[in-house]
Amino acid sequence: MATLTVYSGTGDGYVVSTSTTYSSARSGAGLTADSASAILVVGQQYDSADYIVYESFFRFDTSSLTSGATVSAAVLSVVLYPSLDLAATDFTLEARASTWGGTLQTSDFVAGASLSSATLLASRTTNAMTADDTRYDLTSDAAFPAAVSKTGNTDIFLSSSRQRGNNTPTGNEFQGYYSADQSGTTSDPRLVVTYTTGVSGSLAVTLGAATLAATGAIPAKGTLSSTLGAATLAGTGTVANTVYTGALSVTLGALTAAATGTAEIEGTAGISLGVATLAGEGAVADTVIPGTAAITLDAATVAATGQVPAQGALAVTLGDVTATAEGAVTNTVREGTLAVTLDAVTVSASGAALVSGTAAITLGVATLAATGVSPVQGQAGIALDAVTLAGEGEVFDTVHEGALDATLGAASLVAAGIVPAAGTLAATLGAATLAAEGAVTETTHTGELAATLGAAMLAAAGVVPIEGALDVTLGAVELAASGEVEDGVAEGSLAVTLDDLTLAAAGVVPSQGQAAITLGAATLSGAGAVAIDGTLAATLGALTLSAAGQNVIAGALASTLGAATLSATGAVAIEGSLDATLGTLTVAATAGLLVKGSLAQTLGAVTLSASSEVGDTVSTGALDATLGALTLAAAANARARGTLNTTLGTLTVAGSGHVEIRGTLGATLGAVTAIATGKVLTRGTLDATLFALTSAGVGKVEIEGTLTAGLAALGLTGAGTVTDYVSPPRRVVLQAVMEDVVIGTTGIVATRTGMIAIRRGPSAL
Amino acid sequence: MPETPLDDAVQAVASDSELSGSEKGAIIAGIRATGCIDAFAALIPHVFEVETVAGAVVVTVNAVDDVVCGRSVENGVGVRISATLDGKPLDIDPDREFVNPPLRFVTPDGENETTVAASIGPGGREIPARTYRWREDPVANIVQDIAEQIRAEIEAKRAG
Repeated sequence: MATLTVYSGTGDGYVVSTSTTYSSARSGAGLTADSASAILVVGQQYDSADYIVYESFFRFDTSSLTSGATVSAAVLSVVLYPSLDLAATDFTLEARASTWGGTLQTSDFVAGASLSSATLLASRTTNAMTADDTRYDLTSDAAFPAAVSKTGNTDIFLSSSRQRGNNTPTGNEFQGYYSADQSGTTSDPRLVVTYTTGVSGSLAVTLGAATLAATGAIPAKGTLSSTLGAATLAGTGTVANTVYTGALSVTLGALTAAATGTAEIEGTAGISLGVATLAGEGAVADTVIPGTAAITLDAATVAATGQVPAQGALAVTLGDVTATAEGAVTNTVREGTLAVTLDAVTVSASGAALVSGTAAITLGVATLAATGVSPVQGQAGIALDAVTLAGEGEVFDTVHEGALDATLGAASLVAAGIVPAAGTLAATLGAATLAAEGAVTETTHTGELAATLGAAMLAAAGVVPIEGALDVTLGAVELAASGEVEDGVAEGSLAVTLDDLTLAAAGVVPSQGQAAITLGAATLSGAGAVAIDGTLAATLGALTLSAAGQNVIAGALASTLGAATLSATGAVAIEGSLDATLGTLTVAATAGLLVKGSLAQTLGAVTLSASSEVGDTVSTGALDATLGALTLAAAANARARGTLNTTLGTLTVAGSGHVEIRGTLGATLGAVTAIATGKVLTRGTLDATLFALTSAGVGKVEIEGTLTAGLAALGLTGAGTVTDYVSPPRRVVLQAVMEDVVIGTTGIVATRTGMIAIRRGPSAL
Repeated sequence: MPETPLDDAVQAVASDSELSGSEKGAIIAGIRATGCIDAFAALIPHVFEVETVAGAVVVTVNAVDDVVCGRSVENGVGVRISATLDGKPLDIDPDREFVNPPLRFVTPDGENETTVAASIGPGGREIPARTYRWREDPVANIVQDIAEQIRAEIEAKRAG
């Protein structure tokens, strides 16, 4: 829009009609024209002799308006000449279209009877036009804009409404205004035109919203579209072409289909946004964009309180952002931000949310390419939000048969009912989650569940059967179930790197595959039994197995730099190997505790404890603790049939029943203690180098093998008998190298044929 | 007496007996427009203030040329403006264009004085002599017109 102010040309003037009869004067008689006067006169007069009628004529050069211009308003104004408000009887000053031609002649006078035939352009009553040297705007008529010539002059004349109305004057009823004489001041008659054009200025296309609204049904089965045409600026000149210093924007409004009832869309609901292109072909400094070139696309939403059966495609597609140049030097220099941002795709319903097709967010490639230099000094970023499918219905909720894939965002399937994801659920740099609260075959995942740098979680109140692979890198993997039968079955591999790995079930937690964790805790817990046929390994993290039922480990459990703990209210049977490096190794059971394999621990304690009465705490394999304590403790018998060895740590075998040592107990640089409320039977070798070796029993202390204390005391005490009664002779060797050998008893101390050697120090024997 | 070269040129054309009225009008409009552009160009960027019902509007004249409605015209002046109100950009028409702009800026402290002699006016009425002071300042005339326009536009917007 622009405003054009035109001052009238110097040819303006007025025509006077004079007659002794009013009718003649009104029609035109005794005419004279004056185009040189500084005054323009309009109105009527009776001077006691003649009737005089005045009409004034203006010319405005509006030829600078081109035919392409659209005039929206025109305002004519005049300035009251001093002492010439002589409208004793007020009248309406009327401006009308004329063809007077610029050279004023008496024939230009318009008879009063013909005035109505001339198009009325503007008018104003004179009753408030009283102040000398004051500009007064006339009120424009609707016809005025169209009467403004866009290629030539706009000719106008002023006359009195009383002349048009054939009202005979009885005195003065006229006014005088400044004309456009050669002096040229702002008192000259003025025409102000408001116009728009397609050239120079603002270029704007605004499209309003397309809306269909009804309180009843809206059966729009055809096409509902809102299309915005292209906005184009093009120049073919040689210098400074297509320079646009203002804003260049295309805005597309929202497309909405809303109803209080059903909103059915059987066709396509789409918003397409055209390409925003700025291109230059010159040689120097082309396509300079000092401002922002942006395409913003709003969200596409389908929402209803009832069903949302979107059976077609629901897609938001964002076009490429491209900056290209073909010059030789430093082209495609971009110092600001180059960003493509895509909002979230969300499908949610309080009822069923069935996506039988593909739910996908595709993000185009962000590319900067140049045959010359392509320096990106700012930021080039792609941000992608989450993909979420959620449902709360009862049957077939949140069924996802296709691929659910989120790159750089979270992928989640959540339902109160079933979440059978038979396809691939993959999240890169985001969390992948499957959760369900239903009763039967919930949260079945037969495909691959993979999360890279994010958490992967499967949780269900019922079964969580995983037949495929679960893999997460730098994120937590969680499987949780509270059902009673075969819950938490993981037949494939479970692997987590640098975070926790957890399998928890109220029922059985049978891990038949491999469960491995690096730098994080591994926990398997079940209200029922925990059976592990495969390998569980924790590196730099804790390894924990706990079960209310039986805890059977046929495979290997390894914990490096972290604690390994097995606990069960039932029996614990370890047939494989348990290895804890730099962490504690603890196996505890309220029932029997059987270790058939090897338990090895470096720089940490090894503890096996059980509270039952029969066959408890049996170790037939090797138990080895380096730089840490090794302890077997039982409310009943404590039997070590294999080798128990500790280096720089204490070795303790304690039982409320008997303590039977058939294998070898060795403590290098640490104490060896065998304590029992019952009998202490040593058939193997007990060796403590540099520390004390103590064997104490409330009952008998039977020694059949060799007991050696290196640089510490060797003590045998018993409330009953301390005896070596086992044949053949010389099978018992008690040896204290640097300290005392003390054998104390309230009963008999007997050595049948054995030998007690005291290398140094007194003997209390 | 101060120099009034543009007004002198206009008066010379107006008194030329060889030229027709329309020819005189065209030449005079050209002199006025050209003189106005030259005077304005020396002031760019020109800032002035307009008191309105909404407050003081600061207007900046960013450019002046002979372009009206997208093309160069001999009798036209194109004034490109921006405006702020309370420091915030004001949404106004940036293109203010003039045809046949006046040269004489009537003001009580004008260096020049012109007296219009007493005369017998229309209907035999006696028009007393009138004297006014002015200076040759087409820029002041245009600034005054733009100020009036902005004032009226803001009042119209307020009136709804």
